[in-house]
Amino acid sequence: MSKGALYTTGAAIAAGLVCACTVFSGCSKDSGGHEQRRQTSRPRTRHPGPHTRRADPATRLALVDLDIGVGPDAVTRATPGNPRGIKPPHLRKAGQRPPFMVPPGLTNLALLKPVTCSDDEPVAGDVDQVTDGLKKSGPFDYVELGPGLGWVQIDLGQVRTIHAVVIWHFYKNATIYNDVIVRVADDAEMSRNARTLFNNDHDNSARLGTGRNTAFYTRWWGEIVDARGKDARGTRGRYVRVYTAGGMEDEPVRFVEIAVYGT
Amino acid sequence: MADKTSNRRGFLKRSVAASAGAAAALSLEEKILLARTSARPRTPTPRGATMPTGKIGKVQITRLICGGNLISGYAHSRNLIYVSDLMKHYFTDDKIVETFEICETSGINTVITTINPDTLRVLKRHWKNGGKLQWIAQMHTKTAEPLVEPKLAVENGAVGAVIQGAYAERMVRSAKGLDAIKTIVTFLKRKKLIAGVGGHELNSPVTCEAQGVDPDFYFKTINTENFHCATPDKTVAFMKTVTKPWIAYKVLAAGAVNPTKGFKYALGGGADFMCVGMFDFQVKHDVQIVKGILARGVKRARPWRA
Repeated sequence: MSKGALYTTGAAIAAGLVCACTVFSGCSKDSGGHEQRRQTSRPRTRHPGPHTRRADPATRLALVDLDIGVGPDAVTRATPGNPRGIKPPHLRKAGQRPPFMVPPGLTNLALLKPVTCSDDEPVAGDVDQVTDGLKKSGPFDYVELGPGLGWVQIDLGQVRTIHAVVIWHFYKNATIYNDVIVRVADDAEMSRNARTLFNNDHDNSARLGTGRNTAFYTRWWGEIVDARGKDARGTRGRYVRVYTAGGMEDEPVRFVEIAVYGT
Repeated sequence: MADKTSNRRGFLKRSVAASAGAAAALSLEEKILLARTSARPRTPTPRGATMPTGKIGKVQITRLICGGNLISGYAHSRNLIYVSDLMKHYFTDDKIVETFEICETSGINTVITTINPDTLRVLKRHWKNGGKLQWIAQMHTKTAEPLVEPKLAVENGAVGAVIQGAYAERMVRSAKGLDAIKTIVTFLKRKKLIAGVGGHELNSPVTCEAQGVDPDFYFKTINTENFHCATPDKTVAFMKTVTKPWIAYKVLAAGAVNPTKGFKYALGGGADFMCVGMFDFQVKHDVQIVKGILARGVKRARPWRA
């Protein structure tokens, strides 16, 4: 056997072993989509890193990493690759996010709450699917709106304290969605006490203001929109509206699930 | 139905016992399969939190019922002629029993499936393992000898029995057939089973109501796709006039309908229960959808009748 063939064979065997180890020992990332720290016998460092629990100065309670329920049974764990078309200039670098630290005891306030949308009748699916708690990305697992800018809105029932809004657009295809804007208000018309939590519309094409947030690839671990506020006490509001203007390569506006974590 | 998984496990077990060194030669998949075979006594199936139920007679039934078509291999594959074969190969005895267990741990408490040796074999194995799924037997009854299948249902532990749609439709077309249906219903009630009459055509429940058949429930199709339910609007309108419980089937048109939409349509149309054929990997998903719909509340065309 030639050297080249030996090298190729050896590399293939090594890759296969790594692949098998990954498959049969579970994903190398934990359920929150974070890289797991390798266990070592070294003592803890004196200066805690960003992953260590901190205390919320207001309540003195230790903060915890928000668990948004992305275990292997909950989501369609496939990374479809990156779209090959034009990428927006404000695209975030691909990769998983760091832990999102919140006070303990937050629940998904949006679960089974009423949802409305910008369309009279969605193109596919049922708008209730946005808050049914199901986050898989199969052929019937999303609601699809018509072309152009669309939105879905969740009524939390009363004003609540929101720490995070987590969005799963349809993620089975490799997609970057345009003009993702998240707003919170006290009324359904978004006129009373309306605040923008997230806006990645870098060119104001949605006419809702220019946003400075990054564009992102849709993935099974969802997109966490930070609602903790400057003082980490959360954002108060009753209605949460998420706008989207379709995906980069003519992907329609499709939502799989939106969760709103708070108290 | 071939029980390939058990045969393969048995073969592996014997092979490895014969030679300790043989294990090293097995593929990774075979080693994992082997590891699963060893030393775990069967424990009774733990029952999960049940989903909302209704009552037909004295029988408490979850709103979502496990259907039997996939299990029997009748997959409504339309022009994909390989699909029924695929179902039969996929649904080994082990897989069926596993699906029943998943149904139970997910909160479903009833299965509707036909009476045949394969079904009885897996049902008995499920019950022997500690499983508690109730069985409503789907009967292929004949006017000439109406009590053959009802007796089998009684003898094999069914809590209820229903005349399959196509058979009921044939029987209601004649006076003799109607008499046979009445005989079946009377027999089942006497044996303390709940008795149902099926139908894809609306004519089946319409005739039964008009002729005073008096079953405990109707088993009627409903979906938006004209799939074995030619007139869903008329079905909803007619069932509004019926006070008996209604178990709906073909709700997802054999996989063509979005489950959220299909379930909402059936429950909104007045169905009290839905019989749905599900793969093992669909059960939890569908249960969660149904629970969500019921928790939000659904505007119905008729009151709950069970």
